[in-house]
Amino acid sequence: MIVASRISKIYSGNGNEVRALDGVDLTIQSGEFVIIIGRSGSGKSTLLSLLGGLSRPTHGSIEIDGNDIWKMNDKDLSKLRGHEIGFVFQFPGLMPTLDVLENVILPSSFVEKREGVGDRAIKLLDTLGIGGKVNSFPHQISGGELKRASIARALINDPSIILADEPTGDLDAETEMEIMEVFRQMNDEGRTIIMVTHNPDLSSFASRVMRMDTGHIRLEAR
Amino acid sequence: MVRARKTNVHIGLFKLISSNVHKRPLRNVAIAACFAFVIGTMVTAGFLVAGAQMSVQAGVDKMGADMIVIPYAPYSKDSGIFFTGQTNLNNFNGSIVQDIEATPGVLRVTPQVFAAYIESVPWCKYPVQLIGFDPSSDFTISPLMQTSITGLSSDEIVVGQYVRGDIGTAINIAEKNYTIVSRLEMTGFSPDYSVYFTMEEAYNVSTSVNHVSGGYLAQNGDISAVFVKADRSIGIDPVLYWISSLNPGVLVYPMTALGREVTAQFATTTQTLYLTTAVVILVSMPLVALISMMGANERRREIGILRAMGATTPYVFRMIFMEAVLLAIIGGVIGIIASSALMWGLHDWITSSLHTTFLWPSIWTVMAQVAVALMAGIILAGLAAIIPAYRVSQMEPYDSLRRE
Repeated sequence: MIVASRISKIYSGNGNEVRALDGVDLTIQSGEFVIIIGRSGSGKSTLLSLLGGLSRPTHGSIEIDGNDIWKMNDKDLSKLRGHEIGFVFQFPGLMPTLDVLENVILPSSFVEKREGVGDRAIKLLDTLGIGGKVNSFPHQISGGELKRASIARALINDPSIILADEPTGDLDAETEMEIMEVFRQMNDEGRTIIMVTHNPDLSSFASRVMRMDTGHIRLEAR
Repeated sequence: MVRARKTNVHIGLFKLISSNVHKRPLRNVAIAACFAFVIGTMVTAGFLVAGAQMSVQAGVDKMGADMIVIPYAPYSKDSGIFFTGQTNLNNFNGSIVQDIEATPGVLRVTPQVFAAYIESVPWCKYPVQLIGFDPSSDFTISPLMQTSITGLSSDEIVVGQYVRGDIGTAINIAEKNYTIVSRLEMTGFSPDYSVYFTMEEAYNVSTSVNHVSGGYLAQNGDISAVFVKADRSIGIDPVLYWISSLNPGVLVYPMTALGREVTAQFATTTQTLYLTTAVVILVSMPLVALISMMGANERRREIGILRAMGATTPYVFRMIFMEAVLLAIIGGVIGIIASSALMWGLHDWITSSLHTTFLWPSIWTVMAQVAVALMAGIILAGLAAIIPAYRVSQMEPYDSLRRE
């Protein structure tokens, strides 16, 4: 379970202050599929980064399974990210110097459970329909294939939480639906999915939808 | 299927670093070239100094003399003729040998005379110096002979390593044939390209050669230098002092000072090299830091993703830092190879232009030089990479991900 209490994020610089998140309270049960929608600048990506331990809130606390993640030291927080959270970004973010298989395996370098990681990676890539691309480098495959590879990478350590920041933002409609089916399948396997998107049409995949605006959650629907 | 290759892959830190180095050739070649130049220059300078010292030491060790006595002259560098091929224009009267021999603490003395200096001879690729020595009292040339001789006649000669011709064959000097009766071992300095006659013959040769060239002439009875073996139970310094004070008009060089004199010939070259190294370090340090910073910045998103996957702050720091160190090592190895090849290729040129045979330093000296240069390169790389590595590793992952 993820519990965010009164979290705020303020960006400051050049004498300006931008309140990206403003006192958000949020509880997400294990196994939920939450979609957060909102316009650009509404704070949804910032919220996701705070929930995933990628950015420290200016105020408030975030607990995952009862542990306040921002009271953890760098090592423990990194370990939490490596073991429990899989990230899928709008940009695929594969390492250009590694091939697809190596990219998928890479997160296992930061955790202890490495046995059979190669087989697991190939199985994931097969499941995602890009089993034939293991030897390809990122610049050699299509946008949809890159996205699938990045999903495989997010799943390689078998995390319980998937945080996806506009994972279908730059894909055509058909590929978008295929990727959403993958997320639905991951949720069916018991993983908590929290996805940020511009596209309200994807709401049908979620068990809960939140609409954000100016750093606040304005609307929640189940 | 193409995937049947590697299912037990582990992407360790070194794999990540080496693939970064391998797959980003342009930037990395520039950095490695920078280190190659710095480290190569340091190794070259070290080789030169160590080689010169080696050459002198090897020669001095083989000769039995503790000091060399030459006529005093302002700015005198006369000792050079016997070691570095510099021309001597001053001579003693022959009685100096007895005077020095009578000095307390002197065990043995032997004279030599510089006869002439000849160039462009078919039997030696370097200019050759012609020297007279006294076989009956000699203890400096004889220990170097590969074949011992019982005496030397006026048409016999002893030659250095670089003089071509087998023992028993003759070479022509000033329209007279001389038979080679012995050859000296490699000394590392001027005896290697010298020809030794009896004293009497040296005066004849000096007249014959210099009659043609119109230059310096050694007269009968002239002595250019007296080599001295001291009683070591008294000590070399007191004997040196007594010779100087009891024999006005002489200059006494201990053999160790000759070593310094020869090494000084390399001073300009090595100082230039050291200066170049210093300038290159000063210029390359901020350059490498800048390139490291640019490299770290352009990879912020990658670093953000690594952090999102579970990479710790020290992991990211190590990655950036070790990448710079790896590039320094690669560049260093290239620089060391290039420097060695350069020294090998320029060996003859160094010998010819500095009038000193360049001996390769010992393997331990070479290894020490290489280790010091490589370590300096690694420290340079480390210092240049510390700030970029620290800054990037300390960024919040989300900040890294957001910024291009």
